[in-house]
Amino acid sequence: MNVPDDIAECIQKHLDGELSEAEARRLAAWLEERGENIDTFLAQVDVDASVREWTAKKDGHIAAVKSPRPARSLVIGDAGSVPSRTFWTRWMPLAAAAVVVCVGLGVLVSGRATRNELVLAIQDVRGEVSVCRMDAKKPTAKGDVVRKGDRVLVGEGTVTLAYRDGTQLQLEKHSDLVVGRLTAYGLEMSQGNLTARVTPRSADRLMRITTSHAQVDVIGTTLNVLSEKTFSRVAVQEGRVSVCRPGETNVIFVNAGYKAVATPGAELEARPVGSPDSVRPIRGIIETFEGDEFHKEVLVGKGEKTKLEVAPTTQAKVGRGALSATYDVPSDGWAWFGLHVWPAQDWTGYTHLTFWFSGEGNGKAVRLELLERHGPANKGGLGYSFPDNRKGWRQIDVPFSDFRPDVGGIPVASDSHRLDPASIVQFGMFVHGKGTIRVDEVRLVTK
Amino acid sequence: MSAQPVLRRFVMAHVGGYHNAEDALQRTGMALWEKFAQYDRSRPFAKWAMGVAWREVLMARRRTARDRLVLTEEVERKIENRLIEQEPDEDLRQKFLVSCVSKLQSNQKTMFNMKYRDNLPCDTIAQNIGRSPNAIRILLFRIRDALRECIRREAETAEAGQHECT
Repeated sequence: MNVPDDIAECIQKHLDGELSEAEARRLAAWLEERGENIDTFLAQVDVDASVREWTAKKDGHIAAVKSPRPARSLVIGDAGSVPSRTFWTRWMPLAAAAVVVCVGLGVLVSGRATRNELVLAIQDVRGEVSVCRMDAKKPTAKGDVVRKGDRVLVGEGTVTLAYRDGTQLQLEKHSDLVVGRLTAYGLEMSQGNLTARVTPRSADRLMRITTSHAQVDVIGTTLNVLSEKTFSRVAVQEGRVSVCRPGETNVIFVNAGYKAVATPGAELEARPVGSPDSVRPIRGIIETFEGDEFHKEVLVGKGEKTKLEVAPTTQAKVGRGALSATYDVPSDGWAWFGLHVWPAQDWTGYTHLTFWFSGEGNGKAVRLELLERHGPANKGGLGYSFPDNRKGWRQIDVPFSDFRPDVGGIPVASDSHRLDPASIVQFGMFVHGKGTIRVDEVRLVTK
Repeated sequence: MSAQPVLRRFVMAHVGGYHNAEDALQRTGMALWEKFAQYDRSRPFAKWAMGVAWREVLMARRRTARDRLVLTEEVERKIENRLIEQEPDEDLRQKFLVSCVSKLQSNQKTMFNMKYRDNLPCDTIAQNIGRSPNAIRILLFRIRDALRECIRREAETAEAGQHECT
């Protein structure tokens, strides 16, 4: 359609924020004339928005830095009637995170960092610390620079790095950190322990710390992130951060004095820093054994003359996967296998452990064993014995109250300790004799 | 589908100036967070979010001495409905955009780069290439119009190709 030149000018001025009152009235009147005009106007807005989003992505957000920002937008907050710019820029990224984070709405902030700001200086090095750049690994020293895409590897040592804005990162031993690869102010830590003192920053410089199990958005706070193979822990000392699991929509906010522990199959929730690192299993599921691999680490222990092989099997009771254990245990031998539950799981709120069991029907005792993280130091775990007296699948259902202390699978009758379900780290079985058993769908229930 | 592109366009339609619009969009993010508990999940998210954004649009107008594009309620409603109907797939659109920008004529591309890559104001572009600022504004309008048409054609072609495959 033909658009009058003065309207084309007005639309450009509107997009540039330069519309006078008279021009605004003219544009408004034109929009009211007919529906097609609204379509034309929105098409212009649409392309302008798309181009700006595209150029921001393409240039790594450099374009916006060069922009001569209109003077009036720099005095937001001066009117007194609106909250200060500092407030908004401080909390906006977390708001964005809350609504959209991880998946969904995308990025509400358009980073405006220059490449120079992405450089970190090594402030202090103790022990063995290297920086990998372009596949070349070199020991680093105080005063060196870490650039976007560099990987910092800490062996037996520690390192302190600083951004130009004063944000300080301290990495403990055995840490592996990649700087600025996923996002401009992003840090990826596959393992290790990072304490970050993040200078309050504007919305466009949101810091994102990503581990295998957590994604943390930070705009100005002091926090500690621990990244282990099976879980990540985020503890906040000052301020507030948002945490989610990578690729998931469930976002939680963690305030000062609180922490969150992220691990697959567990609820993500903020708890006081002093509380155990235990997590609550989602819907009480400990392990379903579905898939080609076990989701939890399977531990095996046996005596010298014992044969024991633990593997996934498709001969399942529920779904398509179960655990199979084939064993040959001499009378003076022993065999144990179990699931390593780490971080510890909080089973409070549940009363029974239940699972499907397929045995040999040989009458030998199978001893179930749970291990508390903070159980008495000189004790083993807490056990419950049941006979393998039937072939085929059956459901074993054990109240927590029936578990009794044992050491190495042997009950200790004199010990009055009872199971504390707040912090469970292992679920396992001692088997005797010879045969193959299968276990499936280990769950917690409340009765 | 992400509601972000819709919200961005809603705010940009009402708040003049990219940076002012970005500020309002950021405030909208904050407001959405605060009000998220009030969101009725049986209703479309984008429509609810636009309601929240509207307040930020009004605040932005209060803060800004100029750029007061005040529209009638009917026009407002039409804008809202059009945006909800469109719900652009931003990833796909940007893919087409890249192709369409490469097809711009060289003088259009120069101006496009000055505006969007170098972020120059129209007055400066005008000085650089010896045209009046108003002429530049009109040309930028035409460039966006051409891009819009090109994106539409690319989308149609892609859709036709998809049907052929299935």
